[in-house]
Amino acid sequence: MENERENERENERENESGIQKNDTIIEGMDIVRTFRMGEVQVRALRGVSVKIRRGEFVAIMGPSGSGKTTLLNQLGILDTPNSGKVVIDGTDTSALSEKEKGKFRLHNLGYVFQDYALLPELNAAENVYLSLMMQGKSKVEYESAAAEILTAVGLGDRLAQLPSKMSGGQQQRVSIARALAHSPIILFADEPCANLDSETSKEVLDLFKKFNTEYGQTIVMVTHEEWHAAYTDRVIKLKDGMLE
Amino acid sequence: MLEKAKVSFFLAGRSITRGNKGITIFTIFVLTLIFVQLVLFSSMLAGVTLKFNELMVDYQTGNVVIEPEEEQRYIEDASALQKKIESLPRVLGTTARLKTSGNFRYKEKEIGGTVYGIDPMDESFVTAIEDAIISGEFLSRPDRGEIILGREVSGGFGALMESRSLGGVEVGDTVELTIEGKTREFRVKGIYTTRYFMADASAYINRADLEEMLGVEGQDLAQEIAVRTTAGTDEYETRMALLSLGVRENIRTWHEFAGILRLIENTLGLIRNIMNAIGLLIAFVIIFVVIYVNIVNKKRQIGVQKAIGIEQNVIVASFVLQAMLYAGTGVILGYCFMRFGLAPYTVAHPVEIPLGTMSLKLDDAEAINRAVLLFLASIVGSVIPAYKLAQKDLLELIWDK
Repeated sequence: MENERENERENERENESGIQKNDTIIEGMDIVRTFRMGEVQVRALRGVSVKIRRGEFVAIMGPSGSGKTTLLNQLGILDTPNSGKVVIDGTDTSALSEKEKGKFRLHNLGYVFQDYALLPELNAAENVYLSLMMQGKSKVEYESAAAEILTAVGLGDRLAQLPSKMSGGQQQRVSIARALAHSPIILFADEPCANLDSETSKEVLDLFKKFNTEYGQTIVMVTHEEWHAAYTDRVIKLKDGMLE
Repeated sequence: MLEKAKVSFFLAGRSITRGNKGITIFTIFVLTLIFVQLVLFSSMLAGVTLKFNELMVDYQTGNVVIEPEEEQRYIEDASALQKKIESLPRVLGTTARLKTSGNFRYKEKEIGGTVYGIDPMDESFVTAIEDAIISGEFLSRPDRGEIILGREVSGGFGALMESRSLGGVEVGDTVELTIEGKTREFRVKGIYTTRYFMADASAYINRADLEEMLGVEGQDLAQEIAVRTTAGTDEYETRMALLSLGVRENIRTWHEFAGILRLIENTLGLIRNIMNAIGLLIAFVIIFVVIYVNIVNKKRQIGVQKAIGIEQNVIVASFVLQAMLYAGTGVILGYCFMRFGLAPYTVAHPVEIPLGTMSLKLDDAEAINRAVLLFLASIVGSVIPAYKLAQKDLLELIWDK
């Protein structure tokens, strides 16, 4: 009964945004990831299979050490699984070379890290348009795109500001603008609110929600805060490297 | 390709302009010093060589030296040959000398040395020995039984090899000179120093005195004729002109005459090359360390750049460009310091060295050579650490695992 109501609500949202969520944009198949820590083998993921649909806002949750970030890294092709594969928008990423993966990330994926990970020597606009420069866009194109997206995240008046002169919330918004500037097909966020207070966290999540509902942006977010789940369409729960 | 270069330049530029100013200034300062060190020794060597050459021409050989034909001990009809040579338009003067080795004795001390028999008037047209007198006077034509001693023979006056000198002969003293078994007393008329130890280890007497001691008086013989030409005359052209005059004697330019100088020059050149190699190695290590420290501090940033799709070679190139810019700035500052600072300063205030005074002579070709080498060292010194780190696993860079 609860699930039916949830599906209905989802369908209503789909109709509002005009985005059809019935096609799979990421499919992780039987992902196994093992790390060696000294003499010990740590099995961070033990055969996880997930499907995420286009336009979905998905949270990956679970206790500490459950493999949330490891799963995000596999889905976001920041890491390579020991076995299993990840297919993004029809592309089998296991068949890509490191260079091809880099190119794929540059054109198709966006990332928001826990500690913002901005380049301190670049100002807000430069941090945002770096990947657009790399894509070969013209100066006019990348500068206007950076200004537009920074305005959309509420930082239109801080284009030339260096990260060191910004608050944590502002830095995270620049980080979100950077991740979205090249219109990625998926946005990956690894505990984006971990370093922020509740008020700022709410602002960041509101931004995610805005891009998800208004532009149909697919978002995969790792979080350990239960109240964040309310912003998402679906929660993937992990425990001890397996789906719960 | 172009967009990649653009991103590399962009990252390098921002890193320099907005990065740690202290590190940038320190790196450029060190590279400036390395460049100065690399060109300084070459400039010193060039300065010393120039000084050597000047001393050689001014006090010993003139521009060209004519020696007896092979297997002949003397040049015959020396004054006729002198007149012939002096007829050449670019010849300022000639001096016919007798030259032999002799033993000087003063009190208990006895040393060997070269003795020149000269015509004082002719000699002053060719060499500057007359101007090098530091005590007493130079010889004049009618003088007999008088001698001019170099300070390495007389001793005193700051002689470099005091222990091998006569131990402090002064003007007016009498020394005994023995040549080919004949001993004669000479009154010291003057003491000279050219500050060039080889020229200062000789003595000059009137040619007539030496002819007498050698038993060749009145025969118009010479063992060498030194020729002085106008400034800027090419020595090889002079030789050709002399040959066309029908001079059959052995003609040597001062370059050929200065065999020992070339030996010293080559030895110094070898030392210079060793010092250059060490300087470059130091440059390489410093650039390596600076870039490595810089890069280790930016490990996470490199990881983030890789994560958002910046290619590895673009990241490496941004660090290499930084190193090249540091090296370029260091070279320019170092060159300006040498060209407009140190070299002109030493020309205005020559440095005292045992051989005399010396000024630095900066050779542009050498400076370009050192600049290129420093550039190459900076490229290699930055490529290795940048490549090694940028090649690491993305997550390892981001999470520093």
